[in-house]
Order: sequence, then structure tokens, then C-alpha cells
Amino acid sequence: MTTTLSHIDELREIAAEVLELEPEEIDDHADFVEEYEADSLRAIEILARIEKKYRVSIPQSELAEMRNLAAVHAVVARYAGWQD
Amino acid sequence: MREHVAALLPQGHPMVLVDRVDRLEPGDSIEAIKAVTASEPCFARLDQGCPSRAWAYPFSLVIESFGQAAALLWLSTVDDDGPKPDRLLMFAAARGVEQHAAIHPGDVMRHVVRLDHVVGDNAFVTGHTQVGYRLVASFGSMVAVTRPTDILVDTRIAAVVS
Repeated sequence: MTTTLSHIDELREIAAEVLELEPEEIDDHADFVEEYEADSLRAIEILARIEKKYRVSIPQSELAEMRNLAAVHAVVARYAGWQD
Repeated sequence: MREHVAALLPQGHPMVLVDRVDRLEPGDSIEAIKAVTASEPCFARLDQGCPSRAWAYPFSLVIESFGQAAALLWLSTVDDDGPKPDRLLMFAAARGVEQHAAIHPGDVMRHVVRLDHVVGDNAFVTGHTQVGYRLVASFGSMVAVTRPTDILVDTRIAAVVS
């Protein structure tokens, strides 16, 4: 459980930095586009930071699915082999 | 490399803001030089009696110049991480950009740019600009993208038609 929290909180920090928000403002299930006015470039910035931090390669086709923090976590977990 | 700089960049005169490439490691890093002179177009309308602060080189042009160095680095990247041909190269975003000192005619800027990461048609670079040994600007993250030219042409035509 600790691992889940730490991974999702790390992702929350990445998203917050790109979206120019405080981490605690980002809800797990809030839509990046509708709630935080993210655009496609911001989404790519989040993806790029994740790829670099975790040294994984995530196809851009997954971006459509990565609409909120929980979904981002699910996608990254799949490619990074996280068990949380 | 000197004679190729202007040919490689999509910008024409007077917006070519890189004079020379000193060091290039394709796909990794570049060091590019831009000398600022009093005859730059941005100083054309200054009155002779202007105070020296009026002769500060606009920071927007420092960013553009750094971006052009970044473009040269990305354009030199020939593997899968390089930009696809026949696409328009654009500066898309910058984050964590700071100016540390003003730049004036006579200063020679050296942009040190590192290609940080590439995701599809989007390149992320980081780096700094120095004049001599003095840090004048730092760039946390800058994003360059390529987009299909036909989409942009269509938009322009649509704007003219409407």
C-alpha cells in the first residue's frame, strides 16, 4: 500500500508542476482537461517527465487514456511493471 | 558549420539569431554563439541620447536565440529521436526560464543546450546562456515541436477565406 501511495504522489507532483498547481489541488479522478485546463502539450510534458523519471517508454497513443491522475497511474504501472 | 547555420534554420534574415556553432554532439548537446551588436534591428529606433539601459538586448530575443540553438541540435539528431522532415519546426513552450543579467551590444552569448528527452514530435531541451563566464540566463525546460505543414497552411487559407 505504501508503494501505491508513493508512486501516485510522485505522479501527482509531476502533474502539479506541469499544470502549475499545488499537488494537493490535484484530485485522483479529476479530468486534467476539464478541471485543470490542460491542453495536449501539457499532456505530452507530463508524459515526457514520467518517461524520464521512471525510464520507461510509453506510446503517445496512451495519452487519450491518461485523462486523470488515477488513469495516469494505471498506464504507467502497466509499462513500468509496478505491482501496486 | 558556420555557413550552414542560416541554411538549416527556417528563419530568414533578420531573425537568424545564431552566428556560429562551436560544439555539436548530435542527439546530445550543442554550444552555439550569438554576438549582439548595436546595429541589431531591435535597436534601430533608439535615440542617440538614450540611457544605457535602453540598449539592453530584449530577453525575448535571447529566448529565441537559445531556441534556435536548440533547433540546430534537434535537426542534427538523425535517429528516431530526430524531427521528421517536411514538418514545421516550432517553439512551443518554456518553463523555468530565468534572466540573471542584462545583455548589451558587444556581448557574445554562448548557449549551452542539452537535448533532454524526445516524445514523438516533441523535443524537450534544457540549458543556459553565458557571456564569458557569467551566467545570463537559465532554461529549465523548453519544448520544440514539429507539426504537419498542411494543417497550418489549411488554417491560413481558412482564415483568408472567412
